[in-house]
Amino acid sequence: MSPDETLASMEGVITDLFYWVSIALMISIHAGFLAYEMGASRSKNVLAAAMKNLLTFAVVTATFFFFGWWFYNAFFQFPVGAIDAATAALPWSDDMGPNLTSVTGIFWGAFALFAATTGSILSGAVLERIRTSAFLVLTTVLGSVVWIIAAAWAWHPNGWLLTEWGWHDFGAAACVHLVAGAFTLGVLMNLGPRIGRFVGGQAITIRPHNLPLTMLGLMLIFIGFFGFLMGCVVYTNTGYLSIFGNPTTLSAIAFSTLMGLAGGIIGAYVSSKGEPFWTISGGLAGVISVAPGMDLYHPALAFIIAAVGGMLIPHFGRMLEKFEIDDVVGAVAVHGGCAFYGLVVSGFVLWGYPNVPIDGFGTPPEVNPLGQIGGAIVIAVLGFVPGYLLSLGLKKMNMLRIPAEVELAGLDLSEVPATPYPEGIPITTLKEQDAVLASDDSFDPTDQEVTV
Amino acid sequence: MSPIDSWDGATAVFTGAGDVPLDVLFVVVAFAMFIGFLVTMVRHENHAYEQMIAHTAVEKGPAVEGEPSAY
Repeated sequence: MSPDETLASMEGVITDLFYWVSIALMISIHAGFLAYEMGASRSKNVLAAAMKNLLTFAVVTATFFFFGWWFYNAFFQFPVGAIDAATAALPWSDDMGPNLTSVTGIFWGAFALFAATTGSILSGAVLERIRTSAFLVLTTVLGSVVWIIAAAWAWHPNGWLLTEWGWHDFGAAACVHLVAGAFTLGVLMNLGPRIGRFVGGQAITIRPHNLPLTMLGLMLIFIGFFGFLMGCVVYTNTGYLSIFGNPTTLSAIAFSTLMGLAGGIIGAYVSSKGEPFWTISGGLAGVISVAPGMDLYHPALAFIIAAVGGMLIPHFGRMLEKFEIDDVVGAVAVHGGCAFYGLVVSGFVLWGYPNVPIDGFGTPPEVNPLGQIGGAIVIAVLGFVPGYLLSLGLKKMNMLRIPAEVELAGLDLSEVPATPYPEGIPITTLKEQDAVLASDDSFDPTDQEVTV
Repeated sequence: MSPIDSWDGATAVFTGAGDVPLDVLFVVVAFAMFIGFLVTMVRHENHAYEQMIAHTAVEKGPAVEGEPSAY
């Protein structure tokens, strides 16, 4: 084997390994979503929430093989300019299986995990009242059709938002978070709130049954983000590139990711006055807010942008409540709201950064506010319209929501043939205005009264 | 189903490689199984909801370990 052949071979090996690690880390996002949503549910819906997450992973992965990958390769020019070039992405092509000269599988795998992540963003928002089957149809469309068309437009080396408008979105804020947030908003409008969530126009807090589990879930998602952002980098034997072709490094991403996490948590803490759910969601909000320019931002600027993003999310959440939209985990606020905010900010902060020439397309325009804001609007519409229309169709067929009797009793008593806590769980109850009781079935709580 | 006689110069090595009708058949059957899963889930949901509303057990026979008692 000549030195050049050896180098080419090693590039394939390292590419495989690089994205293999990325995939493995991204699976912890799903472990995180699972824990997060189990904790956010009431105890009568815990296993239904878990099953929904598990099945999301399965259905999106499978359908992403059947047709999702093809959409990415077919739709990068608006609206269908490259269908002929996508035959290699059809599920019966020579590249879509074990092939000793192709690394398509590892890229497909990384994108499949992105797809499943996008599908999972919808999952938490619709907890406790959506039919699992309806949810799986919706998440399949979101994860294996809508997101990947958004990725073809907004996260592709030859995507039309880049070639025509000079688009830049390193960390997939638009095609993952914004598209999922907008799709979710459309679904929530048709799904309606949980019973008892709004009474007489007033929002009533429905407490998560296990907030510590929710917080642990978000920490797992933070770990997974390092795999996610690793997958946003294109490895070559001459260095790393963003998906838009500009050179970058993992060092750059380390600065922005960690400062984004820190800023978002601090911002959300301040804004929510230390409310744990919003504070830890602030980490996610921070990373999403800086995602468009995390290969380019100064770390302190990333912190500032992330902190503002973290501050915004409780306000986004309260704004949705005014319209009686019940988003159980704040998915629209955190993913949709912060992605849109981050993209708008990036248009001004990154204004003037050049794009690199692309074979066959010339040099795209430099990054600019109109391109970033216009692209954000395009992707938001791309997410919202199918989410709204598809859920409306399911609603008309009476297939979107579970019956009220089942909702009141809990899904774990009907469609899930198991119970999460057969021996019960300790509870904390408010006895009266000035006393708190910690109790379970095994001792007399009147002996344990704590005056506050 | 081997597409190769030798590993020398082999490229696509998966079962049925190069035989497009066979590969399409694999995909069609796998996709049909996926649709079957969704149909099964809808039927299970309808049954479970009806049983719960009727205050009857979702599954026949004694509860298995970890299964909730009949509603």
